[in-house]
Amino acid sequence: MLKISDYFLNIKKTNLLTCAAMAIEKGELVNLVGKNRSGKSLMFKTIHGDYYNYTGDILIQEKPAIFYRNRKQTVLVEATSHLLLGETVWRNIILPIPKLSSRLKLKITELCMFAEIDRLLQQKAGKVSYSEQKFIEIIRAVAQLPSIVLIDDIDRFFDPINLAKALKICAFATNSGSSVILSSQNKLENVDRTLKIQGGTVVEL
Amino acid sequence: MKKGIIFQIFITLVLLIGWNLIHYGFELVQEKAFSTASKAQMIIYAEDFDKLLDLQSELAQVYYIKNVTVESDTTVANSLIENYDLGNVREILVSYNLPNLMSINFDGRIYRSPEKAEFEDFLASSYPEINTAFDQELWEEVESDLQNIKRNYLLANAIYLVLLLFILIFMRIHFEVKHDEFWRIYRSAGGAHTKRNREFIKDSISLALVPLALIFAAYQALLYREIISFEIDYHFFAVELGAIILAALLARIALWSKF
Repeated sequence: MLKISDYFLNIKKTNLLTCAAMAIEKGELVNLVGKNRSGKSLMFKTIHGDYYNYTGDILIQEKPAIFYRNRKQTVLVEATSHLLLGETVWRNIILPIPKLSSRLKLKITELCMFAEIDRLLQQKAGKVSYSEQKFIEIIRAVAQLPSIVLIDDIDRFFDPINLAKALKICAFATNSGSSVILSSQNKLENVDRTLKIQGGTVVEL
Repeated sequence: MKKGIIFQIFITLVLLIGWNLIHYGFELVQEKAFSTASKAQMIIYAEDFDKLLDLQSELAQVYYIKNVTVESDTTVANSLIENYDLGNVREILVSYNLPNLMSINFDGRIYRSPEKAEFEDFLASSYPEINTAFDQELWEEVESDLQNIKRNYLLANAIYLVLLLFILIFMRIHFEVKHDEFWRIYRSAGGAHTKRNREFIKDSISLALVPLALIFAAYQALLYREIISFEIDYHFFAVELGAIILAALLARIALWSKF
């Protein structure tokens, strides 16, 4: 699904992160662990096709990320919230979905119930807590079932209970064939693989 | 339909009504000038009555001549006697050799400088023996008025077009910029990158067709109910459509980086 090779991430002409080779298979749930300013977010942006100051190859389904510039195969959930705060929670969840089938509608409702935000569906997104906003973004990302879901700093807003729920929601995406990469500052449990940024290099744990 | 688009359609409709009113005003003023031009009559004098009859039959098919009347010298003498109560000098008047007359009324809408020159050439070459009298002063005054009306109309159109483009482009940019945040979040949420462009094209089609269709329907209704009598050249509607499309294209170019 995702292949990265000879990857050098640069910022202001200095090398921030290196990855000799990395491959993530279809349906895998991968955790990328790294400290603050280690380059996790920028690496996600390069995979998503929003940051180009890097060398090396990033292939999604054997094609370079640039190939998907107008039809992205990835959904990036950034650390900061990207919601229409004046719109309802439900509207925010279905925002990027072109055609909402009744089956998908049911699945989204199930995920919302699991995340315990189902009672908030008709509330304005700006009035819910940060953790609930994060749930909205994660549900919105996995509901689209893209090739790869990238969730940055998943542990920032969640306590251990909510984090476990978020991982379960991600499991819905992996079970449906998407790959999910989660970045965090601490190692997560219940993931298929863990990668760590150590001394500016991505290594497998 | 989005509120912003409805508002833009309304503003576009108002602007198009304004533009059509300029055209309507032009038609009214021009029509008045044409009717004044039609009053400029040509009188032809000739000794030979048959010549006038020949000329009359030749003029029957000329498209810029509205009507022709021929009066013989006897009719002229009788009408003089009748109009000016000259019964007691009838004998003297009849003894004079009065000319035969032909009056020609032109269609003011068509009888312009080229037609006038053509007609005068025709008379000079085919009927050199006849004398003519024409209200040249009135005709030239109308001709000059018509030229001024046309120049002012073109100027008003040009100014209005610039104003229309200015308003439509900035209105469109304003509403697109207002939705920047929505599209930024839509894209970061995983929405299709081409959706904004598609929506822009759809909105542009609505903005071009809906006001123009309403204007055209209103024009047809007014025409049908005989509230207005003149016909607008369909090219004028095409120009209006072209202006709206041009405004959309220029707005799209100005917003290039946002799509």
